[in-house]
Amino acid sequence: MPVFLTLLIVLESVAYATTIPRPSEKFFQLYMLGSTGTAGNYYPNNSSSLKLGENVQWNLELVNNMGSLQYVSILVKLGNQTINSPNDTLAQASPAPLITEFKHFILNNETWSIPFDWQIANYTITADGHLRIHSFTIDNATYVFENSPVCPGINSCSFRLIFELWTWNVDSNNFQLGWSNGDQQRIAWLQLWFNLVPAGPR
Amino acid sequence: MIRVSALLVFSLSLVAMAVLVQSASVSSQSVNSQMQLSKAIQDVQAAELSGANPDEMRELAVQLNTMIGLQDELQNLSPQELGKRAQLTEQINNTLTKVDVQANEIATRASQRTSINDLVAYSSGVVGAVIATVVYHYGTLLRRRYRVKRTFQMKIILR
Repeated sequence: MPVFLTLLIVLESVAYATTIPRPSEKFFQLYMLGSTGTAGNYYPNNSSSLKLGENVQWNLELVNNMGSLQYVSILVKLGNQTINSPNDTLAQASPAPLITEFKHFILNNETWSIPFDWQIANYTITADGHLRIHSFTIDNATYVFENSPVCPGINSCSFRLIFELWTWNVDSNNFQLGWSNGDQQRIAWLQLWFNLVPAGPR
Repeated sequence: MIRVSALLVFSLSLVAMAVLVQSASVSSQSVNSQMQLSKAIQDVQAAELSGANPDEMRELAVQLNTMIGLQDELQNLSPQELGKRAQLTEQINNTLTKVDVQANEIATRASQRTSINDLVAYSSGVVGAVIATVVYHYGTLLRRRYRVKRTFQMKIILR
């Protein structure tokens, strides 16, 4: 009898350990790959100084480790040097103007890959020397800006593309920046800088 | 003159009311569709938690992503294309309803599957314990018999 009880306890413990779901940390991974599918070669000729109409090939990737299917939206914004980035501590989005967004239902442990081919379609330099980007072409679609950020001049300004992850909150029936992890709000975002150079040989 | 201004005020009020009713109706439709979407997502997540397999989940995700395509199409339509708008809205609602129903069915099936798997796992523990106990018992018995036999086979040798 003691032998049977001991074996029963051991084997039932094994059964319990195999059937019970293990608690794991819930998170997303958001990253950008270059034209060769690696963490490099982000810009043509490895120079982030871009000419008008110069094509840039990226691959935006998102991995879902939330343990369940998620409805996500990735917002693409245009920032300059002065516009605030998203705030990790306060979980606040960047006030930079929106260019476009990508929405998708992503399965657990799935990697969602978004080809992101883009170029600056149009920009102007005002009489007082300020530079303003007017339109972008992303994946053959053109996005026109009403109020894009300005820079003091073509040689003294960097722009950046900001990518923010938003997820659908079933309680508020709307998208929220980042995701809820217990009581905490976590956010995932990334940015890539570029400069504009006048057309012609570099 | 008074009559004309009164008529004007009356007409303007009617237009304002019509606009308000229209915007309230659009806003209410939007809220309803958002709630329907949240319910569908919750049911799909519940199915996953119940143990839905990857193929079942992929099928639901494909349908939901098709629904996003329809939403994008709807957003790109001009306000004049009322017929097409109504058709797309209906398609979106139908897709969400279909996903919801399928998710509930999958949840029921997955839940039964998980219960059976759990039952098999715990029963295997009991059966395993019984078999191991019987093996141990007979093993001990045979070992004892062997030792008794060996004892009787012993010879006393004088030196």
